[in-house]
Amino acid sequence: MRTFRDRPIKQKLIMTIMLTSGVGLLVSGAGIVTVDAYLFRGHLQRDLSVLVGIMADNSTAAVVFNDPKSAGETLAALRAKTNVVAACIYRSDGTQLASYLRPGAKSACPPATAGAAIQSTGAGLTFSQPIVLQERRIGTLVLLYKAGEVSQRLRLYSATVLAVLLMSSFIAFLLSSRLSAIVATPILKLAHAATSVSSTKDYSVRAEKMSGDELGVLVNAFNEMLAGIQSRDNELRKALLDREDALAEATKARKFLETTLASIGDAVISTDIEGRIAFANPVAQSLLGLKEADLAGKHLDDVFRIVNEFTRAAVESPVAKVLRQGAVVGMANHTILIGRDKAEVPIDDSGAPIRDESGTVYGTVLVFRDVSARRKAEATTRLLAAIVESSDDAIIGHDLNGLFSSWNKGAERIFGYAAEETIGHPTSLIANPESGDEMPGILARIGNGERFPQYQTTRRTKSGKVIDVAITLSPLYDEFGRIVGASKIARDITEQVRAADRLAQANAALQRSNADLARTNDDLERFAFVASHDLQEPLRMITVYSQLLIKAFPGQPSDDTRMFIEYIVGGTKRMRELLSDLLAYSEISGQPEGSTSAVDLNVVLEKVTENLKAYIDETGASITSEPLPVLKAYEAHLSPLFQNLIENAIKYRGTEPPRIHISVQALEDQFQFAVADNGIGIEPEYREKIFVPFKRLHGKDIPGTGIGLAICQRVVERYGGRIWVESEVGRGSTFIFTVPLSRKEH
Amino acid sequence: MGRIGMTGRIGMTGRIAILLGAMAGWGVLPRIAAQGVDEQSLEYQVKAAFLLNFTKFIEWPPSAFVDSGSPLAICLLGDDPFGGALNQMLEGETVNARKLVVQRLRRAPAPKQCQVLFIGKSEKDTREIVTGLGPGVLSVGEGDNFLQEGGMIAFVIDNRRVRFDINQTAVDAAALKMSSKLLNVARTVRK
Repeated sequence: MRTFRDRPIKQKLIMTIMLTSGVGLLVSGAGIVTVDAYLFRGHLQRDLSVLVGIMADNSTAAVVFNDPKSAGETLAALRAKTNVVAACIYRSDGTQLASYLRPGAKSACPPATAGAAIQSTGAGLTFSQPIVLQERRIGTLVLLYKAGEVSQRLRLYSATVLAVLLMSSFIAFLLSSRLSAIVATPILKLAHAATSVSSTKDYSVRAEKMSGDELGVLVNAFNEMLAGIQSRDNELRKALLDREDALAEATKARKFLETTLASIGDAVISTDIEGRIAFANPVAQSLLGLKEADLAGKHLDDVFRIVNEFTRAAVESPVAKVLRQGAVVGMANHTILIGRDKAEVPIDDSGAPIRDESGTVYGTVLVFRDVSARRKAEATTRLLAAIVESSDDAIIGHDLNGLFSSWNKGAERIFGYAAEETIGHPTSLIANPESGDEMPGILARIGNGERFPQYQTTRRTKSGKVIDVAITLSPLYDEFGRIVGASKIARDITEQVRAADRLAQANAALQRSNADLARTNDDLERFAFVASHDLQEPLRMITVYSQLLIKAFPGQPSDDTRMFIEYIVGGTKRMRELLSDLLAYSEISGQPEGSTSAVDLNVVLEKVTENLKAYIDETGASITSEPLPVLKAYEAHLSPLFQNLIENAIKYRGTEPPRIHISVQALEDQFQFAVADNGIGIEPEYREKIFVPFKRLHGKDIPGTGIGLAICQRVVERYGGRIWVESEVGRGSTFIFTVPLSRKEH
Repeated sequence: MGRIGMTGRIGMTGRIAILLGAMAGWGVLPRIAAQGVDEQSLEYQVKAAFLLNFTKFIEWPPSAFVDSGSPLAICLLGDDPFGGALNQMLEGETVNARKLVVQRLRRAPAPKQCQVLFIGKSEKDTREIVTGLGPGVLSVGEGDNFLQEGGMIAFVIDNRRVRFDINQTAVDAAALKMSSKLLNVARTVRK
């Protein structure tokens, strides 16, 4: 059900009018009825009171003289009052003297009361009036009045009011139905117009004016408002179109700027006034190592960490400085950006505030670039400049016109001219007048693209001295690849020319002496071989015949004789050993029989320990080894190498049983072997000498020929390796030798 | 009743109340006859009350009194049938601001001496007495003949009740104004 609020105005008006008139009528009707009832009751009471008073007065004699008949006649006069249903006269002792009852009435008289009173009871109004004679109460008159009249009258009035109400409501309805149209119709039309405007958005609609009252004013105002809206709507549409144009323009401009920012080589980051990143172009993203999505909204300081290149102290970001100073902040030198992966990039940066039209700063823009390439280029340039400056050679620039364009310190030193004396001057300045200036011609040919080899010529210095110079010319290109000049490196080779002459002479002499030496060497080698080989035989003869001499000696040789002969035998034995070792030593230089083969050093080591078994057992030596490699070599060379080293290790043992360990390291291009012992060690000053043939440190205390380590060195060197010793006196020695992997065939 | 008692005249009103109550109970003469002397005295008690009440419905001319302060005297001529009842009845009573007094007379009263004269049955020459009365005196007697002899009010027993007849001519002649109410309750009014 619709509430009253939502009902149409016409209904509201009708209902209002009817309600108003109905309530008015009801209230006035009720008022009239109430007042009438009240007045009527008052009148009634007054009338009856008077009546009762008169009757009481009239009945005094009847009461006093106890005359019921007379009293009854007095009461009988009440017949005229139809609503009086009963009346009685009581004596002063309460007994009834006379009574009157209306025919048909059921009520009896109520008892007398003490004083004069009007009481309203269910039966009606009871009037009680004392009967007084000579100021003395002699009895009471009581009258009962039926209330029916009052309520009857009330009903009549109510019915009348109701009838009037219905009638007037009907009339009011008819009237208000007609009258409300006067008010409602213009409002309906206005509402219709408003609905039509709001649904069609057609602001040209106008409401019809039907009256000159407030509604008329309202319609006028509505129409004016519509006119206003219409014109504003038009303006709005126009503004909207303008705005769209402007927006398109702005979008275009923004696109243009974005593309510009995306394509420039510098990193660009813009932030809001708080320093939070609003935009970062691709270069900035790549330098920070973060995607735009990771950057957006972050505070710049969280991602843009910069330190001073030298102090490593954190540098305030330019944005903070810009926001503080409100001005453009320039490049800071030696700033390093620490990227996400800790990569350090040297940068130049600058910041500027972004202002709106009123000049208020609402953001900043930070521009920085990776200057590592430039720094490298600068370093290279500095290096090149330093090289050029520090070069002993004269490095001189020429333009194509034959004028000097650069002149380094070397040139100053060689030619004696300072740079400012030469730059811009012709090349003839340093030409040797005797041979003439060849440079203009050469420069012209370089300008034509000809290449020029190195050549030697002569120049005259500032002091007039003529010097020999070696010249290297190369063309100078500009950024377009055009030849714009030539660089010339001139070296003073005056000394070299002389030295070369001397060297040539020395070389010739050397070659001669070398040939002599080689011949001598060969002779010596041969001699050594022959001597050691051929000397064996006489030695054997000495030994044999010495022994024969003892056997053949008549009688018992004296002790002296025996001792002398034993000396001879011992000397020859030692001589044979020396010769044997010498032979072995000399044989290493020679070509052994057969060719190289794969030699398993583990097998070699096994043979060597087998050879030395008695010695090892005697001394209680222990020999350990890492797995050893296979080398391509002559086995005849490697056995003596290992045997000599191990034998030495046992021989120069300390107080403890010798412990020898052989290890090998595969290095980049060679094997490095180490033979370590716990022997007596070698004093530092002897660590070189021990490799010299027949050099012995311990005299006759320890037997030996002094050729062992020489043989070892010779073997190692023959294979292109190196041998040395590391030792700690009293703790042991380690002989280390190397054998290159890719060696030439020997 | 209580309220009347509270007026301060409890003695008098009490008596009237008793009298009225007796009158109500009494009412009928056969009962009176059956009870002998008591009934006789009861009848006269009623008559005494009537005497008193007559004074309340009658207006005397000022000339009937010696002066304005004079009491209203009810005189009894001849034998006193009331005994002490009348005295009792009138004691302390006033009518129109005049005290009521009882006087017993042997012979006809002097002018202005009595305002009411009750002539008992013992008097023979009633007519002479009544005629000799000046104006301003109400004559009350008993029996049907009293009015014929010139009396004004005569007590009668009617249907065993005490009632009275009035000779209005005589009343008027005596310059007394009698209330119509009194006339209404009279058995007969002679004009």
